[in-house]
Amino acid sequence: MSKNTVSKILTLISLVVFVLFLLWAQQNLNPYLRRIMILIAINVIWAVTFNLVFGYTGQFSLGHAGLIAVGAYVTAILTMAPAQKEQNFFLAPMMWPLSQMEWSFLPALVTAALLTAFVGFLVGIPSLQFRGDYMAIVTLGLAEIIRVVNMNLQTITNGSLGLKGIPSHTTLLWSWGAAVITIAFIATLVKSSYGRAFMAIRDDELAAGAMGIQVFRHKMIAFVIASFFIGIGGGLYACLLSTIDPNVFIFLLSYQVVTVVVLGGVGSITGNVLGAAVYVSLFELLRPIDGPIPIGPVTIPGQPGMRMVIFSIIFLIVILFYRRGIMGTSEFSWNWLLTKLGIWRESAGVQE
Amino acid sequence: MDLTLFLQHLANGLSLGGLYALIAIGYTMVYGILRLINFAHGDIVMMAAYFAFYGIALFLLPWPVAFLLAIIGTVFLGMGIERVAYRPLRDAPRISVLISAIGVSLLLENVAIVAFGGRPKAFPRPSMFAEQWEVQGVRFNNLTLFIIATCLVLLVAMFILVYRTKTGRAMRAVSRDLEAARLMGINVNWVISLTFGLGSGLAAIGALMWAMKFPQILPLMGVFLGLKCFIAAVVGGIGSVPGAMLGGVILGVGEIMIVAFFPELASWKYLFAYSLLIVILFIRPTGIMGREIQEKA
Amino acid sequence: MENLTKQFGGLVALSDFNVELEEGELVGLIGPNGSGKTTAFNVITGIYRPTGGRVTLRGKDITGLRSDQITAQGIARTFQNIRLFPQMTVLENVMVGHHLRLKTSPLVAGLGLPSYVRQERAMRDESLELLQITGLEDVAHEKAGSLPYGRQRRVEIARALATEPKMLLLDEPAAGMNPEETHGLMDFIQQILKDFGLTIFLIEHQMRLVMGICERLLVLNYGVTIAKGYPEEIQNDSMVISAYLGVSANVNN
Repeated sequence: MSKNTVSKILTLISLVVFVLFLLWAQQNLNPYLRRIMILIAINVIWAVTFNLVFGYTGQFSLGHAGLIAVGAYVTAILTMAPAQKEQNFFLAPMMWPLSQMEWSFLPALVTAALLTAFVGFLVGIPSLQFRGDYMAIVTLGLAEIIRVVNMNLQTITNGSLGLKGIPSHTTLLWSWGAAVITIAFIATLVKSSYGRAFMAIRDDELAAGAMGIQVFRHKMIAFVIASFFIGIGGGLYACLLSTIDPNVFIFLLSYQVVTVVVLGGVGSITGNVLGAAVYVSLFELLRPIDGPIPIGPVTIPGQPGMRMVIFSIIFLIVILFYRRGIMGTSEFSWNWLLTKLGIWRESAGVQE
Repeated sequence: MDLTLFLQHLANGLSLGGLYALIAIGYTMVYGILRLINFAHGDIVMMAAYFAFYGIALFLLPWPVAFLLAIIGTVFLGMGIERVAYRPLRDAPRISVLISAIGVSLLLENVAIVAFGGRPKAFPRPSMFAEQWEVQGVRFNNLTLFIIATCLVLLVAMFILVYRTKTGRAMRAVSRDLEAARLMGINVNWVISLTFGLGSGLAAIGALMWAMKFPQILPLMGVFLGLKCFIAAVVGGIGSVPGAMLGGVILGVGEIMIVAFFPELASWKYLFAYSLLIVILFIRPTGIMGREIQEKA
Repeated sequence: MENLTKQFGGLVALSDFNVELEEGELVGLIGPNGSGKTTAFNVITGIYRPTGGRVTLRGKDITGLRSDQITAQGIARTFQNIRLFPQMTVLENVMVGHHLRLKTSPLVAGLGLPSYVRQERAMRDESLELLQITGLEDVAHEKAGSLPYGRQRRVEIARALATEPKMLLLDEPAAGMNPEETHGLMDFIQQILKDFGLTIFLIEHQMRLVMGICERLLVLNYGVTIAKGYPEEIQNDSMVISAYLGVSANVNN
């Protein structure tokens, strides 16, 4: 049996084990832990998509927050019950037919994803024409435009009042299922010729063009695919939070995605997963710092926001000293693990 | 709209524009030298305002002293940030410095939230600025005139510095070609520190005047203001100091005039700056006064 | 019969550049540093837009097309300062050259459908073959940036060949090579000329290579074409010799 086949079997087995674990966790873990796990899954989706655009294609976009908003709002609008909507839209009645729509989760998510992909396409048209730092500002500006638009579309999004009472469809299975699908698709894409084209664009746009790669088209492909999955992440997010307003999707959310990716290692999907896990867990673990901490007889008064200060410091330390993040550009592979454990012998070259 | 109202709006627009210009200069100078969008610049503005606030409110200093100390503190803060967060990454891929700038921005914002509290604070407005004048039926706020005057003085001073002094020549040389400037014996590190110091100082002055004009200060106040001022720098021509001045004025006057002429659009006024950015990047990406910035292919 | 006409006027770095290449020819472009040779290549391959004049390939006007479009038309090139993708392996670099001929959508690729897997396998096999031909199969899985200079140049050529070109532009392929390597390169170029049915236009400073394999030459100086003709004529052309004097070129190699 070749190493390749063994790897595939191991992946399949771990997937099955994981699904069983999720089913068990859904029944047995307390809601707090479940919520953390769901948040990790959502952050994984966002991180992997950011990685596709930045780590693999070299385009630094700060527009994530805006695209997440599209996914979130569309999903929320499509899944909320008409009665809820009427309650929410007391300032101005919601536009018909949106006010009467109540869809189930999957069609709503997919529609949201498709719409987000479309918005991503629109965002990409101007921003992908610019290099690194300019693209950052343009995407930031466009995400802000989306936020301001959301705040003003009173009859569609309820403006700055936001939406309350979004059905909590997001479960462990949904969120991690989506995360696994996202990872699988993007990992496969990245290993394909398209992945090489993306990396060529990242490494040397001029040479990539000279080798026949349609640079703008490929940047757009990466961006739109990323937007699709971002939309799914956004929809999951809305149905987790059950309350959203335009200011949730502020540039700080884009910064959060960057933090997750930088922590885990730009250019590594494994790193994205680890980064998300570390970020969300650390965020929760540090929650006590925001409040008073009793140590023995002494109580250190907490300060709300101290958490974020520590995060900012960690972020800066990583970018200044450990620029490669946790994983650098390496990926997890069964080959690596089994070789490390001494079960397999090291073989030269790549298995294929 | 009659003439007096128009002049009033114009005056407002110019004073707002002057503020934007002062802050925009910081962005444009840093970008010109390091090709870095200093995401933390807007937060430096915020810190300046808080420095002055605490100087007056906590240390009970007379406001000129508090203002002066705030400006000095901000200058050191700006130079310190460059030293700690940007200089070590000088040889790293450009995007790393950008990410570092985002990190600094986040840090400043969060430290401000913890240290100063998230609720807005009322910035004291010295009584000398509360007076109003009337010239031919147009009512001017003392503050507005002061801002315009200060901006003019500072902008002229900057112009002289950058274009008529040896130091300014050094700054322009570094901005043209860092390596070549270094080979010509220019102390590049010193020039860069000076650039950050100057930019931060001007931003601090702008911050104080802003805070007197809009007396509510918040930890996140620097973000949108910074973004707008960066857009002003881009519109005027990134890398060009006169461009930043022009861009600031365009943005300030434009913002006021749009709301004046179309009051229904008031809640959309945030879009003005962002839309202007997209438009200018398509029509004339180097900005109104910008020159082609050579990209090393 | 394939010909490539380029007439340019007014481009500051290059003026009135005119050349016609017949199918299967091996033509050299020489001249002192900064004489506009790479500029000519850049105009042909769409990296620069000519201020005046046209580039035609087999009667079709390709002036002003983007570089990827020109490569799709069948003109590939290597670069003076090697532009490999340093993070990718040698094999991956070469496989990039095949991407433009791919007929699969990213959706199919991302889903890993069998139709794509087959194409991937084919691309891989063809690329490995190219590596064999260029003598690089032993480093197929090394990071391209870690190879010695001379071998990196070979990778660039292999990668250009992967785009299935009709015409190849080589920009100083022998730079940094010792006489032995240069000799190997000369044989190699002549071999691929025949085996792949190419037309080759090359820029080079090493006179031995130029005189050895080029059928015709063009000489540039300050953007102006100062001589055209067969190697023997050019060697004795007084204008050419004076253009090179004062510049330490290996005229007498």
